[in-house]
Amino acid sequence: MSTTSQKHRDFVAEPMGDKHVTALSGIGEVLGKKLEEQGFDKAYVVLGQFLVLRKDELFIEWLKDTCGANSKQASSCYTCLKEWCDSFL
Amino acid sequence: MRNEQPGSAQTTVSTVLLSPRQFHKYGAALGGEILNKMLEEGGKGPRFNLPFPTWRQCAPTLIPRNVRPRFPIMASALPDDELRRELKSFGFCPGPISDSTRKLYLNKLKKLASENYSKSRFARTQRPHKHVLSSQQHQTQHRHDSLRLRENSASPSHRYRTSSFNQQDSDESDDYEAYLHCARPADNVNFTSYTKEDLQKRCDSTVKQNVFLDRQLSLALLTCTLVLSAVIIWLVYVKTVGLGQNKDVENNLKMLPVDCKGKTDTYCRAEEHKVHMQLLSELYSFLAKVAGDFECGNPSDLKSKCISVDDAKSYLAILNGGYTDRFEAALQMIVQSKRDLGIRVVEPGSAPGAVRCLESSQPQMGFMCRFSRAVFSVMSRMFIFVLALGVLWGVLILLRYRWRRLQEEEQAMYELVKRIIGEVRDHYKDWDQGLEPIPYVPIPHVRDSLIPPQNRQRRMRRIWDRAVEFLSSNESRIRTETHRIAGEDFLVWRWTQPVELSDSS
Repeated sequence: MSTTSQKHRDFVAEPMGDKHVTALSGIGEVLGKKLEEQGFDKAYVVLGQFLVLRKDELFIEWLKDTCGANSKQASSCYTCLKEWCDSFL
Repeated sequence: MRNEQPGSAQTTVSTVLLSPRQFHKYGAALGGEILNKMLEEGGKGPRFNLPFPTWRQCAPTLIPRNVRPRFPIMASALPDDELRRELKSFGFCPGPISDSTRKLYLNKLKKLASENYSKSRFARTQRPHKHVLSSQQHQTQHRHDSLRLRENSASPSHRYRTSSFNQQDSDESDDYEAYLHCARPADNVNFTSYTKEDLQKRCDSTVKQNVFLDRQLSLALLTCTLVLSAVIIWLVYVKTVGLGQNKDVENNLKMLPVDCKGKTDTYCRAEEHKVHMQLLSELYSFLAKVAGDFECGNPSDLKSKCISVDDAKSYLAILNGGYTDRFEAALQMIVQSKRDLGIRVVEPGSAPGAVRCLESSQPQMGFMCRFSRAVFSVMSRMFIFVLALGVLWGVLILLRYRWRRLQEEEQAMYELVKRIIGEVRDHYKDWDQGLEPIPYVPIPHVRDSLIPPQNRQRRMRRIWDRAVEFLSSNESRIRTETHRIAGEDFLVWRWTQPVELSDSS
């Protein structure tokens, strides 16, 4: 069917509110913990970084650098946030 | 470098290029208000219609080649505003440069610089008139595309789309042409679509099967009907005509009257016997007539076909006086006879007031009476079979009707499927041309645009549902997804095949 995962669809369907960073598509337990250590404990903080980078694909590299995500995970997170912004921002 | 008048910078941005002399002349304006204004005004063109002012904010500042820092850049040494300026010179608009983003922007700068370096070297050897802004243009265009409300499908196709905006620059467009070739693998070319002939073939096979079955069944039923009617007619005939008259009785009762009263010799006994037979024959015919009348509508209102002995005696007396003496003897004969004489003697039995009476076992009835009775009895016995046959005929007619209906529905469904595919593809084409905001179309919208309101609820509902089912399982160029559009969740259809490769059905 569609190439987006259930997690992606769930995240993009509603305002993120106070969701934990692991609610983002592509961010699992391990990556979530690493992001938490850096101070990105909530999804909106990561959103903040995404917006600071002007919603650019530089965000993918940032994510890779910050928590060691691979390309697939980082792109998934990027797409997720982008779509969320398209719907709610 | 070309000698450009500064005024000509107002036509389009892409032709702005300053010679070193001009640079020195307008050096103060570099990065200053005048140049920025020229760039802003130059930037107003139909290609750059954006709802956001980002392009203007991000107006690239021109740094001619001979002033540009040489490569490789000692990026780590750059302060933030320098970094920002450098990035802007490449047309890249950085966000706030902070601790978290600094490293990223430095890497970006390095990447951009090396790209531009290689490009400019190439450009210098091939096209001396190549200008700086072309790469910047691409960057900004790239940004513009990402700012559009677009679904981010696979990134190669993302690049593929930007080529449509590339109007002037041919050598940069080579890059994009490369993407064009490897953008989408031609895996859809061998796709066997449901052409009209295929659909027709599918329809035809089911039709043939139905017709065959139909024919077999009707043939079987027809033969059954014929057989049954033949059987009925034969039975009626048999009952009407009668399975052979009892010749014996007739023979037994033919004789000559002889006067042999009182004598007991063999001849006389034979004669007596003959007379008795004659009597009996008369009696027989009388009784048969009575019985026939009684059976066939009873015109004389008899209570039964059994005539009492006295009545028979009186009748016979009327016929022939000599019969009265021989009556008792005749009765004895009837009782003792082993052969079937056609007359039955009914004893009084236990019923009170019953008399000894005589009855004919072979009532004599008229032809019409016999025929009608025969038909009646045959029909009543064959009733079950006739009923069964009628039911089977009815079932066959119903089945035929049903098959025809199903066939029609299937035809309608395939027709609808074709229309839906056309509609979804057109929607995609419109989106590609920029007439539609989203690449997918909600399923209810498609339904509402194809089916008029009066048919939506009842008539086309089943056909529509079947068509949707068919599409989700048998059409691979259309993908069914769930999306939120304007706050409401919809099941949508998305056309997935690139426009150039689609078939012509």
